[in-house]
This record gives sequence, C-alpha cells and structure tokens, in this order.
Amino acid sequence: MDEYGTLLPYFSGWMRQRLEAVPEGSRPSIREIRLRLGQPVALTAKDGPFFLSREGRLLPRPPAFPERALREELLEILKKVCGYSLQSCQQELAQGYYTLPGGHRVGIAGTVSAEKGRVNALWQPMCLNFRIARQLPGAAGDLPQKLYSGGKIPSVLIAGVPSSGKTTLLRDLIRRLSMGETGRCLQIAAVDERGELGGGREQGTGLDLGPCTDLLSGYPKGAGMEIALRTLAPDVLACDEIGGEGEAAAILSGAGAGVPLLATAHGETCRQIMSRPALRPLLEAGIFDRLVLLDSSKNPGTVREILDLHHREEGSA
Amino acid sequence: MKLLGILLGGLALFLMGNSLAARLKEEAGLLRKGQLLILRVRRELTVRKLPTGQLLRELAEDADFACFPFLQKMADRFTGTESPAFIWQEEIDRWKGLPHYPAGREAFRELGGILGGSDGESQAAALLLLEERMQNALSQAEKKAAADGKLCRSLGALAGLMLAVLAI
Repeated sequence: MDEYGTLLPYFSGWMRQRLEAVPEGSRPSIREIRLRLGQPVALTAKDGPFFLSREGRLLPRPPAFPERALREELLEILKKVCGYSLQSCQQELAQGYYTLPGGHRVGIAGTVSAEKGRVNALWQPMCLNFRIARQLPGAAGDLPQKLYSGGKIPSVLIAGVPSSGKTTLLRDLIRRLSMGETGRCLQIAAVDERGELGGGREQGTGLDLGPCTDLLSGYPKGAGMEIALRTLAPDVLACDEIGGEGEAAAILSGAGAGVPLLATAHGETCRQIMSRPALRPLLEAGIFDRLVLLDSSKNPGTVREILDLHHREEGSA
Repeated sequence: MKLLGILLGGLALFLMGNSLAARLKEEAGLLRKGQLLILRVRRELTVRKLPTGQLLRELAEDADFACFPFLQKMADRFTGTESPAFIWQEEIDRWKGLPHYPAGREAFRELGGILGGSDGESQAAALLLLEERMQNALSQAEKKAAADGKLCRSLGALAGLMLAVLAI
C-alpha cells in the first residue's frame, strides 16, 4: 500500500470516501492532507493546495457546495490518531503534533489551555495536518559522495523552509551511509525525538535507516546523544529539527565528543540560520562543518548550495 | 414418605428464600466491585496515564475483577483502531451479570464511553461523577439486601413451616 493509502483508515464517512476517490496516479504527489474546522478538506501537492470534488478530482479552488469538517469529525479523527488513548498523548498534543506509525506527522492546532506561556492541554482540535512521510531512496542524490572526503564524513546541517524535504533527505543520507556507499558501513545513532526519522512505534512499521543505524526514538536530543555516545559507539550522530528552546546547550554537550553530527533545521539562508538564537551557538562553536541549503518547497529535496562553514567557501550541488 | 415430601417441600421454600437473599447480596457485591473498578481506572488515568489498551489488559488480568468477563473481551477486541465506547457497549449488552439497579447499570454502560476519549483530567472528572452514582446505587442495593434479604429468609422459613404444619 502506498503511504497515502496507509493514512486512509484514520478517516471515515464522507471524508474517507473523497480521499479514497483520489486516483492512484495523483497520490504520490500529495504531501499533506489538511483538515480545518468548518472548511473543506484540502490536499497539499507540489503546486499548492487543492480541494477535493465528490469524484476525487483535485480542484485548485473549493467546489461550489463543499462538505465541511465538523467539530465531532475532527475530534473523532484525533481520537483515532491517538489510538483512543488521549490521556497518554497529552505531551505530544500540547506540543502540537503526533507521529503515526510510518513517520507521518499529524500537526494539531486548536483551542488550548495555557499557563505561564506554556501549553498545558488541547481542548478542541480545529486543524489537523497529516504530513505524509515517504521513503525516497536516492533522495540525497550524490550528497554522500560530495560530503565524504579524506575518509571522513563532516558534521552537516541541512537547512530549508518547511516542506523542502529536509527529513526525507536526512533519512536517505543516513541509510546510504549506513549501507556503506562511501566505503565502509558507518555505525549511525539516530536520535529521533519526534519519531519522524525512523517512523516506527511498532516493529515492522518503521522506515529503513540502514543496517548499521541505531534508532533512539522519543529521546530528547541532548539525552539521546549522550546515551548514544556512552553505549553505542557511533561513527556518526544524527537528529532531526534542531533549533528548539534549550536544545543548543544539550546538543553542545552531547555533540562535542568528536563524532560528526548530521542534523536538520529550518532556515532558508545562512544569515537566517545564524540569526536564530538556538542555532547560533552551535554554528559559532564550530559544531557543523558544512551547511546544506535546500531549494524551496516547490522542489523538495533539491540541494541549492553546500557551504563550508570553516572556510566559508561557497560550493553548489 | 408423605412426611418426607412435606419436609423437603418446606426445606425447598426455606432455601428459595435464602437464595433470593443471597442474590440481593451478590448484586450489592457486584456494585461494590464496580465502584472499585471505576476508582482503579481513575487512578491509572491520572497517575500512570496508561494507554487504553494496556489499561484494559491490566484490568482483565486483575483477579479482583474476575467477576467482569467483559473486561477480557474488551482487552481482546480493542486494538486502538475502533472506538472503545462502541466495543464496550456491545460487550456490556452481552454480559448476563449486568446489575438490575438502573443507576448501577447506567454507570457500567457509561464507563466505556469515557475511556480514552479526552485528556486524563477530563476523564478523571467524569469518572468521579460515575463513582458517586455507583456509590448511590451501592447504598440502595446494600439497604435492600439487608432489609429484603432478611424478609426473604424469614418468609421462606415461615412458608416451609406453614407447609409442614398444614400437612401434618
């Protein structure tokens, strides 16, 4: 079953019928399924958002009399997403996401209760965004060969705007390094705090990260790196989406052990990345040797530039 | 033989009275267990925040709740892909031991609708209300078991004695 098809069981009624009616040929291009309270179901593809007709055609604008997502429908979908165990998913819900088997991340927004600037609990979901995770072998292109030199892999920060393919590229890079595409198989420890890299909550539902990759799923980045360094003897560390509050110090303490680090972060240009308070300390400390900038979300996974951060020489892919 | 038959008849009436009294007591016991079940679920949801499937498995394995066969059926059927409320309703309807007290029956039915459907605190608040309703049903059942149970036993004994006297 394709990745799009694995998400269909989370929907029911008219929503499921419309989503099932989308032709097989159109499904690989769909990146997101977006539900908004009181609005028609939208799908995000390369060329922007589309809306579903009753026959499953993708329309650039909402149809004349669209069916709209009801409050009860969104809540029921959220319950299904959480396996009807909302009480054990409160932390993820407060952070605004939940990762499904297969690495698909459901972004959740709505009415929350907050205290002292922190979200405590989600009361009512108003938007659900199903981001479809895809294993795209070869997504990293010739990046492994470009990065590998002198028998070593450098520390790499992969940066791009949302939906530019950072996680997909990192996943493929990890897999290919683990398989030994650059020489010997590298032992990789992937700290997968949000479950998107490896995608697996249960055995057999994960994404392939290669034969020599240890997956630390759900570990906070700093703690995961520390544990990996102490117990797993990795050749390379990897983690997704750095730049959160308090992460810089944790990563600095974990990543300063001489083991290369592969990571992703949001940012379109070097200047933007340097201006982010959480990333600046890491870049100034010289944690990363290369910065790989990805093209916009219209061409996900396309490398725009590779910057050598130590010599600040510009190269291009 | 006639005397033996009469004695047996009298004994049967006495035992019938006793059996009715025992049933009333059993029903109260079931409601008491039901209250413990709700309390246990509330504690697990607020303290350990167990996923619903794991909670059901632990409850099914707990010897204290062996009198609720629907728990094992719930644990077997619930996979996280179907609403527990729906499965619970089916299994409760199949359960022959459902209490006769309306308040108790409704409390058992509603328990399944609460599981997993909201955050831990909201579930706990709903379960607290359910616990109070179960307590009310239990108080009524215990009073009835005490009063009516005594009455049934007495009537059974009296009927048996009267049969013996009339026959002799």
